[in-house]
This record gives sequence, C-alpha cells and structure tokens, in this order.
Amino acid sequence: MLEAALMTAEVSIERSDSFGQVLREREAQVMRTAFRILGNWADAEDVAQEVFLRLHRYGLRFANDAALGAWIYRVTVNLCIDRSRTAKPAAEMPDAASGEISAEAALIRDQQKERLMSALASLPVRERTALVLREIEQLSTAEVAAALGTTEGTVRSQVMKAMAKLRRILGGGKL
Amino acid sequence: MNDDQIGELLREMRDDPVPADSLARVRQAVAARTSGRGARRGFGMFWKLALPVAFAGFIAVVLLRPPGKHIAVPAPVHTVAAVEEPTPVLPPSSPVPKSHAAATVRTARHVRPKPASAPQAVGASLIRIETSDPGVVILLLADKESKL
Repeated sequence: MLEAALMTAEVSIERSDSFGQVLREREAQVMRTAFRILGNWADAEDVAQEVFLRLHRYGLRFANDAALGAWIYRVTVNLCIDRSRTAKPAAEMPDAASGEISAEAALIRDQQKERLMSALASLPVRERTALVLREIEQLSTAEVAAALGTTEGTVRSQVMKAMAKLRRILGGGKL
Repeated sequence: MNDDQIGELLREMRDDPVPADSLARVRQAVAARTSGRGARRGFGMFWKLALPVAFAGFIAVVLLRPPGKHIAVPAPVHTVAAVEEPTPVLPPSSPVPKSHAAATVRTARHVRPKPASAPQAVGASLIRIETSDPGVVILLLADKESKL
C-alpha cells in the first residue's frame, strides 16, 4: 500500500512539469473521441479544452498511463454526453484519408464514412458513445464500462443495439 | 453493408487525422487559460494564507498583551442614614391606597426625629417622693388603673 502510494507520488513529481507533454500526446485522442460522439469539430474543440483545463486543475496524480487515459476518456465522455443533451449532433464530412489508395476509392470511402457518421449521429448518445469507445477507440468492454460509469453487460447491450441500428440504417442501400 | 464492413469502417475512422488548426486552437486556448488560472490561483493562495495568519496574529496580540494599569475609579458610595429610633408602627387603620401599592418606585420615607420631650403620661399620675438626701428623689408613675 505504502509502496503504491510512494510510486504514485513519484510519478506525480516526475510529471509535475509535463502537462504540455500530456496535452500533446492526448489531444488527438480527445478530439477524435469528442468529434465521433458530437459530430462536429467546433464542439469537439470546446470539449477538448475543458478536458485539459480539468486535467490541469486536477493535477497529474495518476499511477500510470492507463489510469491517466481512463480518466481522460471518462471526463471526455461525460462532457460530450452533457453537451449532446443541449446541442443536436451535426455530422460533418470527415477529412480525406491517406493517399495510398486511389482518388476514386478514397472518394467512395469518404462517402461511406459520411453516411456512417450520419447514422452514428442518429443513435442515442449513450449507445453512440459505447460504440465509439468500443469499436473506434478499441477500448475493452471493461474500459468502456469504467468510462461510462456502468457495467460491462450494459456496455455489451448498448454496442449490440447500436450495431443493429447502424445495420438497419446503412443496410438499405448499396454504398 | 454488413457488420464486418461497418466494423472495418469504424476501425478505419480511428486513423482519421484530426485537423491541425483545431488542435492548434485547443493548445492555444488551454495554454492561455492555464497561465491565467495559475496567476489567479497564486492570488487566491495568497489570501488563503494571509487571512489565517492575520487572524492568528490578532489572537496572539489579544492573548499576549501585557496587563495595563487599571485606574481606580471610586465607586459611588451609597450612604444610608442610620435611623436610630425605631420605625414607628403605622396604625392599622391607616388605609393604603391601591395606587400606591401598585407603584413600582417608592421614595424613601424620611422620618424626622421628634424633639426630645418629657414623657407625657396621658391620664397617668406622677408621685414624687423626696428623701432626706436632697440628691435622691423617687418618682412613681401610675396609670389610670393606679398600677405602678
């Protein structure tokens, strides 16, 4: 117990001046998650700012990177859910993917992603969040449950419901 | 579009780039607000420390203050005139007005000493007996019923 506390204190001291480094390492993760949940970059920027301001206020008192990541996901998700209650998500066109594939294939892929984003935006926010964290951010079910403050069973149920709705929305026409 | 295709698209979205200008705006805003917050926090910390220290100083000054010289203020002396003579008993027939009984403040009643006078024996007889010694005189006082 004492060793764990000492290790935590050590990590805190080591990271006391590395807030900027954490910001640079995690900003893309926060922005991407917020964008997938909220559907537009402007709201994602606001959420990202608030997440890092809270992190600065809270301090880097984490035992390891996993704890830091879990905390960031949890705060991001909570802020996104709060914001989505007041603002209706508006799906924006995602940026162009890598240039290795042909322009035509890239265009088709972008159209598919656009439709997928629109379908995501139509899901209930908790199902959408569970799907984003589980399928896009590739978190484990336990990690998603921790971020959402719910049980793993609930997360599995939400992901299954979300996938079924996406299938129903996107399966109607040929992409 | 089946589950695999949807899953593949979702996983692909993870690698989508985040707009650089959005990242720059976030970085800039966070830097601006954390530096301002740091200054405000420093100011707040000053007051958080200064107020208890000032209060503790005040308490210390009050408790450790050397005892000052007390100026003796003569207390007002309330002298009560001793009445040597027994208070005359009021006749029972004297009525006490109700308004006086209800009064809360009453002035002290000063009894004037009666001038010394020879005992008056109303309806009594005085017998004076002179002895052979001119300095000795026997006085006998008898009431109406001739009791000595």
